[in-house]
Amino acid sequence: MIHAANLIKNFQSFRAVNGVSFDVPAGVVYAFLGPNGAGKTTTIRMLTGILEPDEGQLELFGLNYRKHRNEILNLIGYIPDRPFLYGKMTAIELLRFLGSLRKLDPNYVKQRSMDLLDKFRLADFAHEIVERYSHGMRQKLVMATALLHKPQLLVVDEPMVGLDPRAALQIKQLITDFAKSGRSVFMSTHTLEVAAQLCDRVGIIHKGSVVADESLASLTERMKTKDGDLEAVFMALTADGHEPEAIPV
Amino acid sequence: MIRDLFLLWRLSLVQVKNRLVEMQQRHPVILIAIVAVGGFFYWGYIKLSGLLIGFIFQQDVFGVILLTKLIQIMMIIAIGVAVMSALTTAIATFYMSQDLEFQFCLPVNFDSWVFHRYGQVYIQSCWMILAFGSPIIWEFLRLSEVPLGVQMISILAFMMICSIPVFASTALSMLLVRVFPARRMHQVLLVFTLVLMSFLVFLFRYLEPEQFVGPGGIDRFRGYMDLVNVNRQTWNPAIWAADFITALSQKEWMQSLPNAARMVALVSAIHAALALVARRFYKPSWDRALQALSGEVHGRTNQVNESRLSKLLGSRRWHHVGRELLVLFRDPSQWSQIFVLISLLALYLFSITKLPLTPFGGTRYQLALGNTAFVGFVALSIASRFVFTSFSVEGPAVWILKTSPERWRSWIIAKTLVYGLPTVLFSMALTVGSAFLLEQEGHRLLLLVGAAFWDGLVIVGIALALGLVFMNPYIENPLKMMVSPGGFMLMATGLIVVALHVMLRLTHESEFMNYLMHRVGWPNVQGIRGYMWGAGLAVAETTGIVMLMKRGLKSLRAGEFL
Repeated sequence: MIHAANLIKNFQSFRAVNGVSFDVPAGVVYAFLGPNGAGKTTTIRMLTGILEPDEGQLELFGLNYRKHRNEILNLIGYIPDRPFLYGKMTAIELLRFLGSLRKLDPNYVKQRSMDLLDKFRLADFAHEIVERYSHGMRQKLVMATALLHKPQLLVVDEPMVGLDPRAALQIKQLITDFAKSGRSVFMSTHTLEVAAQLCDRVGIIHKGSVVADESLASLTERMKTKDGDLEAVFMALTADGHEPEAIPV
Repeated sequence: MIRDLFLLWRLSLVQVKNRLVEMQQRHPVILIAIVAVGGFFYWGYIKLSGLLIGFIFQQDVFGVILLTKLIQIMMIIAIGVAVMSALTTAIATFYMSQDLEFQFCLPVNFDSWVFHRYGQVYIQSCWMILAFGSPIIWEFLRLSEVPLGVQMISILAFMMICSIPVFASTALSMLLVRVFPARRMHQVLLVFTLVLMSFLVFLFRYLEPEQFVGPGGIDRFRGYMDLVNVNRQTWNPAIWAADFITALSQKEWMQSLPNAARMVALVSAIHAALALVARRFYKPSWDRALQALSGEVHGRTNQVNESRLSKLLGSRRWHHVGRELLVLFRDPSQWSQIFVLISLLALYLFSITKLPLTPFGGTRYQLALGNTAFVGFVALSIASRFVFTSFSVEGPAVWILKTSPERWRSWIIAKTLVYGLPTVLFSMALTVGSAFLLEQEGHRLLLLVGAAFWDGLVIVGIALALGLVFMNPYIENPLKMMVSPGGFMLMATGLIVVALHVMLRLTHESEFMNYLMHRVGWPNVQGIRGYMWGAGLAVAETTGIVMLMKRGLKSLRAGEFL
């Protein structure tokens, strides 16, 4: 579903992503992990068309990004880490606008919007302008926008930030169901428990390069850590001689 | 307290320095262009104002009196403009800034924090007033042959006097937020705008500017200046500053002292009062400041009715236009200034109807051509507020468009239709209105409309292109865009373009103007040469706009603004 080969992205003299390669097959939850500043968000932004890679090959659904940008974006649902939305629009208006951007049938958009808002418990606020929403409500609305067009690939940056435990549980279920239906989820997170619980495959990026790209089971076996102990794997693969020290309190 | 103030300023200065370094690294050509165009424009302004002040100064007795009155009026206008400018800036700086939450947690002295913010409001709302007012004062004193130190003290007095409206606006914003929620302040400001508009109507009709045009106009203007006896306003700080500067220009050092003492006393008092007002009114309203930054729906709903515009969002062709209009109409901070503009234009057209046309005879067409300068300036003002800022008002939600399967073209076309096209049509309508009132018809009317169309199109093109190049989705208040380097670049380029267009038209039409301008290096544009120069200028402008637009699109695609 995703084929990334030797992706490079520079910001002036700083190389944020340095030859990143990975493959995400269909029906898989892929957890993309890495320390702060490792290049996770830059990679996600390249996957979702926000940034253009300087070098390398990026294919989604067998299509080349440079030639088939619009076709690819029509198949992706993106949930950013920060829920920035148009503050002066209501939820229903926002979904209607996104439906038009994706050239969806207006009747379908109407039906699907109400359905999604109902599931995310936002139906009572469907005609409320987004500016008045709390952070968690905005986060849920972003998820609704990502699912509006029934994407084949869900790209999620930090899915649990700002959600209450009930909503977090709902999202975990959503991610699992999404993959079970034969579609894929590409998820970046710092919450290793969530990754270990949900993912089928793990990619770890460190200093702009991928240092692991395999299933959790094979990764723990290779690293000789306790079964499913993603934290130990993560710490071993992202060690750079500066291990976290106790902070004087 | 001083240490904390110093630290906070250092924080701000480091951010400014980093922004400059980043710009120098990322967009060196743009930075050079800003410095070059801005420098050229400012140099031109200093030269032009110097020439004008010099001309007035040379007039026997009357010259110095007129300059004194001009300085008085300039001070009053500076205070008026600073009040309005500082009010919106104070609300943005004290209540809407994204770093409020971070700074509230810092263990810095509260007074230092207030004065730091107040300083930011002062710089952001007054830098243009100071930049354009100071050369006039400087030139006046230079011609009066006073020592350099005295010239500098005068500029300092001008700076001091500008702090009064900034204090008034800051205090007023704090008082207002005690009564109204910070989030609703834009609606409150709309009421202020309407009040200001009524005041302008009154002032403009009181002035009756049409009486100054035509033979005898200069005598009437002189009479008017005598009528404006601001010397009686002994309570007015603007007059203190003006009288202080006048006394210095006449080397009457002792006479300048009372006004200097008054200014120092007042400015010291207001700064002390600022600390008191902030403690009394701002401190208890911190929660309001934070509330303005987050959501407010807590179980209750305040539903928005469906409008025709929201139905337009479902259209495949017009969804961008529908969204632009919807957001524009729901945001009073966006459209409230339109009231002021429309009322000013109605007044302008009304004043033209009062213009005594008979004395102008055959030069009415030249008057109509000169009028395109005003129309161009209006178009530039609208473009800088609405067209230039249109990309940045998209805000951080621009990721929605970046990840949508649509071409940027449709988005840019929507911005052009919603903000650019009305600007062009507006300038054309204004030209037609004033041309009719100046009794122009036939091919001359068509030429005037064509001229307004050309001016409007170029201005909108530059505003769109610079808006893309300088796109900043993280700006807190779109008004800040107008005083940013990009906004300054737009104003400078736009004014140069309008001046070139108008001068080309006037020198093409009038042999006398052509002769005068030719003597200072302007090319001979009489006859067919005028059309050739016009075509050349149009090609150069189109090339420049296309190049800028390409640069902006490149940065948009690459996501450089993120």
